[in-house]
Amino acid sequence: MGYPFWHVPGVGSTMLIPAIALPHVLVSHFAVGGGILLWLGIRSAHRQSDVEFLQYLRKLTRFFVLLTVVFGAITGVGIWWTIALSSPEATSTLIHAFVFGWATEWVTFVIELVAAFGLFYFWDRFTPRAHIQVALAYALAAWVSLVLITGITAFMLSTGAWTEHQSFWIGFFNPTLLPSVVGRTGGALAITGLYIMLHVTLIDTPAELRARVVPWAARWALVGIALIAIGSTWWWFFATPEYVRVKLLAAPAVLMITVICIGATGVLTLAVGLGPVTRANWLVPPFAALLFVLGTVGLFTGEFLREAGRKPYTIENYLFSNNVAVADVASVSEQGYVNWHPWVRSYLEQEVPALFVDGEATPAAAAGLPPVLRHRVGEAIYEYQCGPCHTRRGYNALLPRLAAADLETTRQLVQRMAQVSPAMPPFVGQDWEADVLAEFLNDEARGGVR
Amino acid sequence: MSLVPGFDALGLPAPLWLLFSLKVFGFWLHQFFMNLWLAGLPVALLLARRPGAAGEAGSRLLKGMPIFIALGVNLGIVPLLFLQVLYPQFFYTSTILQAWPWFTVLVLVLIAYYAVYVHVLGTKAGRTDWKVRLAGPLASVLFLIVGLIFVSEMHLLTRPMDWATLAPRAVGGTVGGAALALWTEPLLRFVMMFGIALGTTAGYLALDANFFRRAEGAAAGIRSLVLGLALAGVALFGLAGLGYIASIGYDLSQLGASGIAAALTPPLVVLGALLYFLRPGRALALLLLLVQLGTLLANAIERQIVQFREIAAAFDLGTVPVNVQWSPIILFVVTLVVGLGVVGWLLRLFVRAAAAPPATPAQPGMAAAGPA
Repeated sequence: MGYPFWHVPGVGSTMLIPAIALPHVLVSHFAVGGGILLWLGIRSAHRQSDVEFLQYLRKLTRFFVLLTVVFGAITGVGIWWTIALSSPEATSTLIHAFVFGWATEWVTFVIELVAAFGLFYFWDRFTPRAHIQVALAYALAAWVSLVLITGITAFMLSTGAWTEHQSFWIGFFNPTLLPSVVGRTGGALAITGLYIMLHVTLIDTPAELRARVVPWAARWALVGIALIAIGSTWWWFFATPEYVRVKLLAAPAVLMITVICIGATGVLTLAVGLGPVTRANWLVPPFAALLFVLGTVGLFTGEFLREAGRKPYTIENYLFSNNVAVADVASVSEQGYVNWHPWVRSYLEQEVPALFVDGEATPAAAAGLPPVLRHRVGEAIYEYQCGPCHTRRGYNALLPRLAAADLETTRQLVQRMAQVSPAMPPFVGQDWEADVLAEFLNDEARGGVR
Repeated sequence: MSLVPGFDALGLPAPLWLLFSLKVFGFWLHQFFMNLWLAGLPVALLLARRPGAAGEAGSRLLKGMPIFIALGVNLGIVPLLFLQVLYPQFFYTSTILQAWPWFTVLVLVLIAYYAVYVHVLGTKAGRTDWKVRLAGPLASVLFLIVGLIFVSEMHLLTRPMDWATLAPRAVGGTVGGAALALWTEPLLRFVMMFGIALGTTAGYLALDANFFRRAEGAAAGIRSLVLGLALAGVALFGLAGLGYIASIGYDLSQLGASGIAAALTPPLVVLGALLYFLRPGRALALLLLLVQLGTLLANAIERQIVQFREIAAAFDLGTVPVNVQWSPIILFVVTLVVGLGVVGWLLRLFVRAAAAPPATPAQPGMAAAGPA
């Protein structure tokens, strides 16, 4: 497609995605888990005429509504906003493949929003029956919204047979959809249960009520953790493609994150299971805060692992992380990356006009360029092909890794990138473009063009 | 050479008429609530300090602001979604060129939204401290800035010929994302929208006073206010509109039915407001609101036509293959119908709840017990 690339110094534009996505993941899981637990809590409180519990749930609802309706809604749109800035090709694919899935999800969000406002404004005016019904509408809408979004995000990791048929349903019901839904539903229940335990210890609550709420929330947190375990096991052993497992197991950083994720979840299970479920009075604010932090660490590292499994694709078997479609690699390589990409080409036409003969960048013209201009061409190719994942010396820095490599080694690495590392896409372009990129990397790794 | 990227290889998922209809319909609905925070919020903040019916109307408008913002943001998703389907290569490129301001929109809306809550909930609780007093105007200013960024984006989107000059290249031919197209033409568009928004505020205030408030003297007490807002709105719209037509060299002979409607409906709003001024009441309040909704619809259709024409100079949408996704369309339509039914049912529950007295903290028969 050939979009301009947004240069964000030091971190790269793709790192702005987690800045928005991680808080949103936490809040959206709150929205779903909060919806389910509020419904269960309201139902229980009305059935048992538990006024105290109902009053507590009202305080909780205010928090959930203010957090999910405002922060959740804005950051939800924000993820879309940010991915479109850093990876417009992938965003365009998700929009064109699933636009009516997004539109359907929008309907569920409208219901969620209306029900949330109803709970917020009319809490003490509903009949018990209407109160439970509104809470159920909120919970169902939030959960269906989770299913719809999970279908599309899971698709990015496991397209299944979609690349052949490009059918909405094949893409949506992809191999990792169901385990992801089970895992995310568990994550939502777990993080909400943990938050309720923290909340009830922080606010002024009668000890008797706290003794009832803490085991209740703890039990639901454990149910959530059990669902996470089922979903993750299913995802890893029965749904994730073999090559993704091999790739993840071969990456030390990913293994370390996996250990942190499993460790945090394991400690959390033991701590909740041995403590708050049976002994509510054990739960003091620092302990509750620690449990909540462990839950958040588990959630965030889980997201990181999921994302790590995606490389070298942005959309599995369809779009590489360097923003070139798998189907276009051969034709772009034949045409030349500079000739294909309108923004790279127009920049170089202005900066390095000698590269172009009869309007085309050619190997012969490139060979005749002085080193400074070859460096400039290499830099443009670097920014557009490597920049989506790497910075030079900042986040996921590339140059320090090449400091010990000579030019020939760097050239080999560029040309055989996909064979050297399963997480890397192939270099897309002609041989001379690979050469100028290798020269650029070699020069920069040693402090600049000589 | 053209800087416009190629269209998405997947093609269009629905017929053009359906995509354009959904985009325009979504923008029409979005405009109503967006207008209430764009012009309604500053108007409400000014009015809320005044005594009498106008002050009461301002306070009531402020109280509803969190819901209007939620609905406006939510409905804004619809036109943006279908804009991305129809013109991805224009939309994404223009947002990348002004990436930092565009990214900042998220932060600004988030702060503005919470600021509205601080102001509304603080005022309800009787607080008058500086945080509560500052929060309202801060939210209003931030929403105005967001409006300007949107106008810039919608302008850049249709000007691929200006992309190269507007976006100085950063390192290696990338873009720094700091472009903003805030010159005469987009600024005039912003003023036109602000003028329309004043009309929407007038229409909403008349609706609220006659249908929701139902207090003695409320309908008549705001008649000068309604007329004043409508007059100010049409004056801004008319002056900015004349400047806009001159700035783009618009050929008036090409003005179609929607263009004529877009030009003529704002004066009709003034006529409606004048009638309401003379005989305030439910029927004329409803008429005023309907005329304003007509103005918003005419504006949405005309904006779409202008956008289509401007982009057509650089790209022929008719060349894009259409691969209709019928079953997902059916899924959406069914969900929409069911969803509207659920929303209607919820609203019915809310209306009944609103009529009921608040429950006392400890109702008879409610004893302590444990959650199941």
